[in-house]
Amino acid sequence: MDLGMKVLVVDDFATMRRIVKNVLKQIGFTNISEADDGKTALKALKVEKFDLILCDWNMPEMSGLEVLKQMKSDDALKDIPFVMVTAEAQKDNIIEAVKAGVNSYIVKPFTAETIGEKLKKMFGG
Amino acid sequence: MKDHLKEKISTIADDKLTSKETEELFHFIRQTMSNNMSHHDELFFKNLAREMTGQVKDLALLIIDCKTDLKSKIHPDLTDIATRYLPQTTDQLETIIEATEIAANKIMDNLERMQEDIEKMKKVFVSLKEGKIITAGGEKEIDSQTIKTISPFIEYVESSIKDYLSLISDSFIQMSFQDLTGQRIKRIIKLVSQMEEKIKRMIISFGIKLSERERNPNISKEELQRAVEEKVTELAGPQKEGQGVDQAGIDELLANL
Repeated sequence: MDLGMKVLVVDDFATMRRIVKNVLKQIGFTNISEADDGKTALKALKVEKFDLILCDWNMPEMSGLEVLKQMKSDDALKDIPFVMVTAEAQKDNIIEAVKAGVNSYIVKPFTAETIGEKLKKMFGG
Repeated sequence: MKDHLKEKISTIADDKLTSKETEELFHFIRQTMSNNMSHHDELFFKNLAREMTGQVKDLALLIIDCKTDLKSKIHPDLTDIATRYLPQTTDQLETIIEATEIAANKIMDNLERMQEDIEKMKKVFVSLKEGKIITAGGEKEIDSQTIKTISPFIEYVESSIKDYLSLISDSFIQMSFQDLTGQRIKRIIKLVSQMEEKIKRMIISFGIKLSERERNPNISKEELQRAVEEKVTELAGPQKEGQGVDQAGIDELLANL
């Protein structure tokens, strides 16, 4: 796993963005950016090249699921690994995200170990 | 009735009477009729009139009571809820979100500082294990015997550092309570705001319909609804989407009740 990869953390709650960033830093990631909503995230993804996105589901105006769907319909963005980090733990939600093409699904509240394991599984090592 | 009687007289008299004679006959008949109304009949009709007046008055009082009762039902309870308690509730809930965010950020500031300091300490002990010590005068070598002697201490400290970093990381993640509670509170705020708008709309509808009907008892249902919609638009004014009617507007409507 390349810890120098460019990561985008998307969540409308600043506290949560800070927590996810801290966990990623503890794992060893050094290049982390933030977005506070789906639209800002999509703009950032079109301007810079990101290697990974961790995104909340419940956000005003544009949900994480909508961000995922838009990414998957864009040739330039569809291959960027997408991890949904959300409090939505219903089976139907998970199925919906998987059908939309999510790479991994982490339920809040999470542990640092969970995020570490999921990312290692996605990228290896 | 007067014209009807005169017409009757003319018909009976086969149009053989002059206008003056018809008029005189009319007055004679009328006088005769009133003189013939007995005292008993007069009393009867007077009582009947009084009873009708009384019934009409009672009906009027009933309508007034109904309006007063309606006002008392709407004004103290519902109006207060719609214009004071619900907005206060949403304000207080938003304050909770802000307060918990501030507290969570302060705690995370402290935790990050602890993490940084402990990482620095970790580097010092890694250096010690490698036989180096950082002093005010710069980096110095430590002899192997000293390293061997202090090795258990170094291992103990490294193990503790690992535990503390884990605790700090866990404490950091616990701050996610602010996100979880915040999301739920936001849903409640949305629900309360929707309730507030619905209650205000109900007050507007009641107030307008009652006052318009008073002005025009024959007003149609469609016209009443149109009047309500116009008032809603007027009271909402150039406000942000989602913001509804203000207190002054509500008070004006209630004054009509």
